[in-house]
Amino acid sequence: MTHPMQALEVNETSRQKLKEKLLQQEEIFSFKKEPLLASLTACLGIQNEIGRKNQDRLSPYLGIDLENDNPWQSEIVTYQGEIGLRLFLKEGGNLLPQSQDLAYVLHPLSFDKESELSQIVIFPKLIFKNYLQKKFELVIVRDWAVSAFLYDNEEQVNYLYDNDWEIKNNAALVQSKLVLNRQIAFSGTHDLADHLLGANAEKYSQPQEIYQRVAKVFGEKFCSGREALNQELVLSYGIGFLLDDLAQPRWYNSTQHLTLLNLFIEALAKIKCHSYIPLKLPASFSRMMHLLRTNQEQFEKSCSMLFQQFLVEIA
Amino acid sequence: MNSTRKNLIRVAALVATITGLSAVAADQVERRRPHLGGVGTEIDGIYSRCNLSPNNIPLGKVLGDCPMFTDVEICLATLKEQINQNGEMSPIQYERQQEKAEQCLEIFRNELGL
Repeated sequence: MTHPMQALEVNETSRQKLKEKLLQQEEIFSFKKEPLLASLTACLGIQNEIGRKNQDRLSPYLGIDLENDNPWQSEIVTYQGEIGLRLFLKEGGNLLPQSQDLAYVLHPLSFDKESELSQIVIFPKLIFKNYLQKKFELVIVRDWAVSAFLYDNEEQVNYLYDNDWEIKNNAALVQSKLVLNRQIAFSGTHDLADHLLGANAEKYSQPQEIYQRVAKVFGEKFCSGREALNQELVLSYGIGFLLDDLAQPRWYNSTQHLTLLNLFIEALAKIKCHSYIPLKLPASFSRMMHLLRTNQEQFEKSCSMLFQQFLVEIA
Repeated sequence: MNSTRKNLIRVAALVATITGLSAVAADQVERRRPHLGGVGTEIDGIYSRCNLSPNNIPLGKVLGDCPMFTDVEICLATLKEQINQNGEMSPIQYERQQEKAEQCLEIFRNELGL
């Protein structure tokens, strides 16, 4: 297929330089400040996940199931001074978009002469601009990007699963800043599919008061200079987990999420004991979150009991 | 009239004005759809960023308030329409911006050895 874009080869040396350059940035930086660095980071992040069964959140929105082998081919491209990503099916064929909001994401080059969606072409900086109009700021979270696809393979963090890295590094602190400032991290398929498609600034910011409470408690607990307790880190992880859900259109302002978030905040604010617990999530955490997301009626009935059980397990 | 219906009527009108899109084969749509949201892999532990594995996404629930389309033709037409509504800048503005963008890209490429 001919197209006006130029392929950009990103070899191991370039990836290493990219990692070094990223590590020089602030913890959260905007596409406005570093458009090319942010664009390349977002493209590599998406490229790393696309077509991988337990990572790719985007393919279903394009009518592609992931039951079989990875159907995608991809390349980093440049076009008119922008860095972008081109995705196309190995066996050819057109894509079937499932969301109107893909209009904020896709570049017109995605359509062929017959007006079919024959490939996905995205330029993250242009997506950033489109979402500014929707009152969101897309950003790169330095450590999330580096740990997701610039670490060595065995050390890479799959953010779709619970992981020790986020607990240990208290990733919830960043999550709290993002929701307060109406920022969306954009360096993977989850960010694109679960946060950007359907995004609505007004609904996103409805729980602003509780976001401010989270920031206040986090400030008191984690900015005093003392080392955080493992209990605090586990509770903080739960808060980050819920904040990420609440920043997704399907759970904007969810009463059940907010109820549970309040319980987590209260528990974190009150915690004083110094007993040692391993830095692991107890089994009750998974049960509680699974019920929250899949059966809200049942969750409402058993929320308090589930949370108490969780507290006992981390006491 | 609910908003979904209004939306469908609006985009259906768009479809009628955009040529070339009717070529999306109906059988192609049907062939792909049954796979969407079908029973996927078992959930192993908890997904921290979403509730289901990517190949088990129950479309229609996932998108929340995002307008859903039951017809891919309509979705395609709307996408094209929206993308074409992007503001146009004057040729001089455009040329200056392009020149600057190309220069920045060149510097960036050299810096990273791309």
